[in-house]
Amino acid sequence: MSCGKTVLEINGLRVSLAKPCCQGPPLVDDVSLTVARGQVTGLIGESGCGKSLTCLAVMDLLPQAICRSDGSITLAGAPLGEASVSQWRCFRGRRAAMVLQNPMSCFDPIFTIGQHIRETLAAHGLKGSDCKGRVRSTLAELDFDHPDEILSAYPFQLSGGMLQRVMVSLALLLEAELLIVDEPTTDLDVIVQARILDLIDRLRREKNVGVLLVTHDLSVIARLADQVAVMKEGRIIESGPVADIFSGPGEPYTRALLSAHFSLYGPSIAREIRA
Amino acid sequence: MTVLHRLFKRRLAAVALILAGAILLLAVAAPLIAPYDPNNVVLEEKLSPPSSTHWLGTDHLGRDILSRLIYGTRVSVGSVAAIIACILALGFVVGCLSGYAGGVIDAALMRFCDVFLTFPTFILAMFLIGVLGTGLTNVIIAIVLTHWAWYARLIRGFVLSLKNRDYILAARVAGTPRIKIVLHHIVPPVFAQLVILATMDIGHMMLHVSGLSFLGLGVTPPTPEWGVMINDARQFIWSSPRLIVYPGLMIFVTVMSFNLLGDALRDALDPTAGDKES
Repeated sequence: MSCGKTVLEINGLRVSLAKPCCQGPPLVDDVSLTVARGQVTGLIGESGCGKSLTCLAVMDLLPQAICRSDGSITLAGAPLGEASVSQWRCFRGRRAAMVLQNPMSCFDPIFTIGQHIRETLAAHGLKGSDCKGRVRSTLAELDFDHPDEILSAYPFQLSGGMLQRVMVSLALLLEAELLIVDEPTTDLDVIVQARILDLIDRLRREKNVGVLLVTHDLSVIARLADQVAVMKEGRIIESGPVADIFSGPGEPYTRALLSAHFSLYGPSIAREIRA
Repeated sequence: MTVLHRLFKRRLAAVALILAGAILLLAVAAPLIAPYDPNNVVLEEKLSPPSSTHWLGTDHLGRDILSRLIYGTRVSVGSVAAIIACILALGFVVGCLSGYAGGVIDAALMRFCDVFLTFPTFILAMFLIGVLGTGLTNVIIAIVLTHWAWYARLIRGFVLSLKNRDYILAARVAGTPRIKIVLHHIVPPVFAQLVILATMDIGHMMLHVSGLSFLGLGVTPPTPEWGVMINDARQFIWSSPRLIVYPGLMIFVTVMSFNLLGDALRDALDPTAGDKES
């Protein structure tokens, strides 16, 4: 794998509790992942298996009591360990953007969408009138019919799907190379889900963005991902191209996960995927 | 709650607002409103009853009581404003730092606060004035030092409750600098809560200043101040009780109006009431 193509490389990541007194088994252990440009790497697993912690570790935003105890993270050729706090802050948002789970609570209710966007752009040194035009055209690109209305709206005046698209627009505005999406569709209805997923797919194709897609929803993975890693109890137990994993799961856990999914949604999807 | 009840409540808020506004106006425009110089001693007119020339009469040195009351507003309101501003500034810095940084900084700052919280405020204030010496500036310093810890504690609590909101995480994920996150997303909501609290505390602070002045520790005569006026009038309480009643009434009305204003503000700005609407 050439360095130019890989946008994110996680090697042997271990995340554990910071206090030595409550040292148990690590929360995330020996996780290795790569995300290539223009590709979607899926990360699946049940709730609490360490998917979100892996994401936060990539952004260097782990909660105070939890720390990265081992392993390396390389973002677009720059290793995380060597960057200073302020350098890493510039990386966040600019090089690697993240879309969070529940769009409704991810915006400060006392600021308009426009103010949120301005704040984020200003944090990366982008100001002025040409930014305004770019914000508008980006919002239009994301299927917002009236960008000006969106900019002057408060978060609670918009729907979950709209807010999720606003969040994606931030990644687009800053021209991030890596997009981490942590359960982007959990709070949304199916139609909006499809729209968001299409959007992510479009970003991947048109802007050549590498995407790390975290979800517990197998249909989302089947729809979008090129590569998939299955996580269980903090470890990656199986990884490979999506088709391989779905058609011939090697681990009993993966098989159980797939069969549980198909028993809910019927065998037609299974056939679809294999085909 | 009946409509009548609600209406009555609102009317009370309006009365409080008008009274508080009037008191502020008195403080600002004292030289324009007061009919006489508050320190002008005219011994031949001492202890004269209310008349057309002296509306509220004169005190034991023949000074016009109305003028002294009006000028007294300046000292009382001004010192309370200074106290509240200092307390809020100190409380905000310590509370935000403690709440947002957490860890060792939080523990150290909060233990330091605990030192101030353990003493009864009035006793500690008197002790501090004993060390610093009497005078209005020292009274302000003493009251600020004895009260800031409460505010720092409260602000820390608010900050802690806001710190783990998703939109703070979203802002961090987007690469917003820490200081901007605190200033934009944490300070405004905390401030909205604190304004209410501070309004309700204005009366309390005013009583503190007047109380210390009454004990002869704060403002020294002849400066017109309500606590000082009560202290001066003490010896004439049997011969002309009105001397003690006027400044007492001023303190009462001011404290009451700011308390009512705080109550009304809390009702009007209640965030849960806002949530129900949205």
